Amino acid sequence: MNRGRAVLASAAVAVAAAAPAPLLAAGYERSAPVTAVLVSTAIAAVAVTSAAHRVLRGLGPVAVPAGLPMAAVVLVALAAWSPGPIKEPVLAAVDAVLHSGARILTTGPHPLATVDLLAFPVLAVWLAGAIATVLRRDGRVLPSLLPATVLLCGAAALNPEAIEPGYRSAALLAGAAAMALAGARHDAPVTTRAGFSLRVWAAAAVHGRKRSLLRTLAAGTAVACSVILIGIGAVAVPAVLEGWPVRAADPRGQRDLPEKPREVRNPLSYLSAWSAAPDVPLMTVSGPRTTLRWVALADFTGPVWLPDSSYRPAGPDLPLPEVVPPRTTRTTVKVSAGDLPGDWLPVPGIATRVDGVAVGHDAVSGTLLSLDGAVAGRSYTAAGMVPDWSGWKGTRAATASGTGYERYLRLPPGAPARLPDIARAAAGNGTAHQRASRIAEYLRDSYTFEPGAPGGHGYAELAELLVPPGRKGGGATSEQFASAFAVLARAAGLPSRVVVGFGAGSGGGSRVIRTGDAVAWGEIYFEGLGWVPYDPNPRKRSEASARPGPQERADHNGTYRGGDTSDATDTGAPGAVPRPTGGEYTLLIATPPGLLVLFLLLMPLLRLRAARGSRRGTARKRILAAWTELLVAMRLAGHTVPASATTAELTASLAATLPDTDPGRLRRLSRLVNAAGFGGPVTPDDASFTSEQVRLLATRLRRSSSLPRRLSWWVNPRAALWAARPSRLTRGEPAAGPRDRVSRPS
Amino acid sequence: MTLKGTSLSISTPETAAVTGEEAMRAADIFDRMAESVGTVARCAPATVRLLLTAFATGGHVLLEDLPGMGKTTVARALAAVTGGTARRVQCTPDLLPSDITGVTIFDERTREFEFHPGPVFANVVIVDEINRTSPRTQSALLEVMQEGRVTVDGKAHPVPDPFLVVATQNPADLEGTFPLPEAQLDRFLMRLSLGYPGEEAELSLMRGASMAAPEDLVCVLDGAEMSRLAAAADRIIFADPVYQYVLELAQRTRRHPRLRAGVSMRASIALCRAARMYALADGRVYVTPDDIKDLAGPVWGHRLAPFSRASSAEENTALLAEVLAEVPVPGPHGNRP
Repeated sequence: MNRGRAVLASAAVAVAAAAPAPLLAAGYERSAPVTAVLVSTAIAAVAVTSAAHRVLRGLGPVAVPAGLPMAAVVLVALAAWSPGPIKEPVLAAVDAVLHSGARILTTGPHPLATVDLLAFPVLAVWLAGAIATVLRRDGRVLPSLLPATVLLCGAAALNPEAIEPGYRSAALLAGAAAMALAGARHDAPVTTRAGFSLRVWAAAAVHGRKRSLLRTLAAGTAVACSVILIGIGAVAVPAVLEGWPVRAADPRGQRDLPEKPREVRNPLSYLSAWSAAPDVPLMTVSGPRTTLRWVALADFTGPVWLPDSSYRPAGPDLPLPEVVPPRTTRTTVKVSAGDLPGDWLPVPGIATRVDGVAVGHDAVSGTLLSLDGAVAGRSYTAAGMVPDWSGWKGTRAATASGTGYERYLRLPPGAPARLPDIARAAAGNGTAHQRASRIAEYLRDSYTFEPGAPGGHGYAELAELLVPPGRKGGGATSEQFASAFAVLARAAGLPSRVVVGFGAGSGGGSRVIRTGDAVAWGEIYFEGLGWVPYDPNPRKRSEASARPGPQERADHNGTYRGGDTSDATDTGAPGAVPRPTGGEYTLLIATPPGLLVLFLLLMPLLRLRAARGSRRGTARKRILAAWTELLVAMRLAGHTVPASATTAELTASLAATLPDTDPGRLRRLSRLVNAAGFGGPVTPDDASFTSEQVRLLATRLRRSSSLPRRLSWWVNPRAALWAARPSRLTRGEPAAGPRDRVSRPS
Repeated sequence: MTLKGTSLSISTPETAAVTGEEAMRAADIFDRMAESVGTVARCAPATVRLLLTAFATGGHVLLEDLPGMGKTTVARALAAVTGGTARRVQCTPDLLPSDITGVTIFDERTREFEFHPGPVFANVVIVDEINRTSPRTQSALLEVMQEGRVTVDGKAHPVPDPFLVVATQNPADLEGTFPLPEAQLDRFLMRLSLGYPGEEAELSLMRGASMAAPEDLVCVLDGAEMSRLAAAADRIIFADPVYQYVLELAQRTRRHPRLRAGVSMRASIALCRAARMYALADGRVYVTPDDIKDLAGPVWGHRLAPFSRASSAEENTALLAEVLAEVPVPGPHGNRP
């Protein structure tokens, strides 16, 4: 019977520790293997800690650290199975333990399950299982569910969008709780242990068969209700919540990433040089013909447009932006990059999945980056949603404004004086879409495309290029037109950015993308629609092209061919943004030690203040305060103070543990405490005697206790709790004579 | 109670708390009695003290022991130290109620009916093997214990004061016995067991150590002193938390899943009464939870009714120990459940 109960209890603890596994695993690319790893970890933790607890009988919590080497073995095995950036298993495990927490927070959702991202959950599940096992084996049923509950809450905060796995986890935990309670002993717990214990009340006696019938009925109802509730929780609620419009924020997005400066040329500044030498092959693309996006540049500094540079490591599956255009086509292409410079990845439309290369993802601009350095020479498959804007009228679409969009409207000081006038004249009046279209049209109509024109797209170049509407301007390349469009749009109050990409190239299923296919265009952000592209590139000197209205340019091949060569100037390196100052990190690091110091200073002060109570007030009050002090000292020294023990029994146990104390004095102490507590006469001399004895005994108790207890004697926070625990005595009430405090038979 | 005008005032006798001197004198008396009894009966001093407490409280005692443990000697010693008379009744199945209460006989000379008192007319009545006699005789005896008088032919004859019945029964040999029903067990204040004496004491007894005869003991406590003790015990300080403690213990026995019935109200009152005398015997003017814990076994042990019919004294003691371990003791360290 006892064996069965022990097995049930261990199983309940293992299920509880494994309960957060589905929810934790939901954060990875493939959840099934991660769930398996975490569940095995929970079972191993329970088994190992149980064995350690059995071997270290009487040492209780020591079983948790005793089992930790096995956790390390599990981690090394995991590192051998799925290594992260470091391939050697032991080093990888060490690196994972050191960096796992930070990497989970700085990685995009659904990454590959590598050891550096798994170490933290594995250790957390191990610790939850181990601590729960120790608590359970000490007879604490409900507290043993606490670690798993805390872990489940943490997992829920990390994966707020995983509703169904969340309910599966909660159902598992509820099942574990039911198992744990069903296996709990029905008599009262051992009250002799100091600390947190929950009392389970035994049922009142009801007679005979009626009692067993009632029990059966009640148990049946409880089981039925539990099954129904857990079933509803696991099946019905997720379905209902799927359609719920509100989604919790992903904590991973709340953190600012340290920006990494990239020592590469500005992608926009390649265009002028490439237009001069348009036949250099850059990459081979196979798949449907589509434009590839390369880099989006949203920050205009005056001389140069800068790409975003906060990339999070991401798994193959990429998160979608907040707003997805209404009509999209799913397209998958295979790209073999040839001499493509930099480490940005050209992808079709809004990328949804990239296989074959580890990527960093900039969630704001959607730009992708190869995490392993230059993209040249690599092959990968990229899937994306290519927006289709053909036939879109945009009559009721409004541009986005407000917080988060100022950066798309920001024009640094130093703009040419006539820029606002030109913008106003070019854009005219009307809806945002009409004004944006007019700016693009104005640029297309007033200028000519001039391959090999000098590079540069800052204010200086634009001031030279721009002429008021109605007059014919000179020639330039895609670099300047895209920049001019975005700057004019900002001047006209439209949130804009520049995107660099590639046309579909020449050829059929497998085609070569050359330098001449590179193109830049402008984009305007519309509320609820996302970024809408506008083509400001003049068609003059182009061979054949459809009207490049507000639609994705799917047929730009060969537009920018020919012309003489001229050197493009490198107009500036992106990534010059300084790293954030360490101020807040310093505060973050300094807070816990500060709190610790405060705590270490405050605890003895509180204790001294409480101890003063035994020197003040009436004799009765002083004796009772001194007695409380002695009981706290006993508990601090690790002795048991059962609630059902009388004063005499406690002093007897003291006499047994401190053999050199005078039993006569202890007896007198016990007698005085009883007299003070139950209406006997006490004098101030008695109170002094009690205080003195208690002080002596407390000192002896401290000296006789183990080193950890001696060290934590004055700072143990539980002392305050023990001293403040309410008693049934009249302690703390104003002193009163025996007549008021006791009742006598009449 | 007197009515004065329209207001009702209740006058109660002076109930000032027991003074320390009174308590010390009482403790002295108890010490001397325990010492005297100890010279003739080789049993544990704690048992003697409980026996004396029961006697001074006016409660009857059921001694449950194997034969030859000195039950009768102890009872006789108890009678001797109080200067009273002791009578003994050996119970057999054919014992009649009149055999113990007494009979009315027609006197030829006076031509009248005359009452001849039975063995119950003594200060200490030793009823040996009470479970061997018929239920009819048992109930006659228990009526005397409760009422303190014998009614024969419509005439009441009061028994002497103090009056203590020490009944004995053999827990091992139950063949052909009539177990006492619960209602009758409830009449006994305490159930005690003398147990074996210590090894030393038994060795000296075997060597033929001369034990004084119980009748040689000097009287320590006379009737007047006894009533003074009883009056002092009534004025012992009994703090409310201790009453609540007793109540909680009683309720816990009533709710216990292995008990068919917990202790009765009479049992809790008896425990409080005994606790007062016990505290006084210790020279204290107040009752502590220790007193309650010491007395709970003897006073309540025979009043618990477990579900299992074949319940033994050991099982009851274990159940009671369980209840005592569960209920928090009042005091600075007593946590409310």
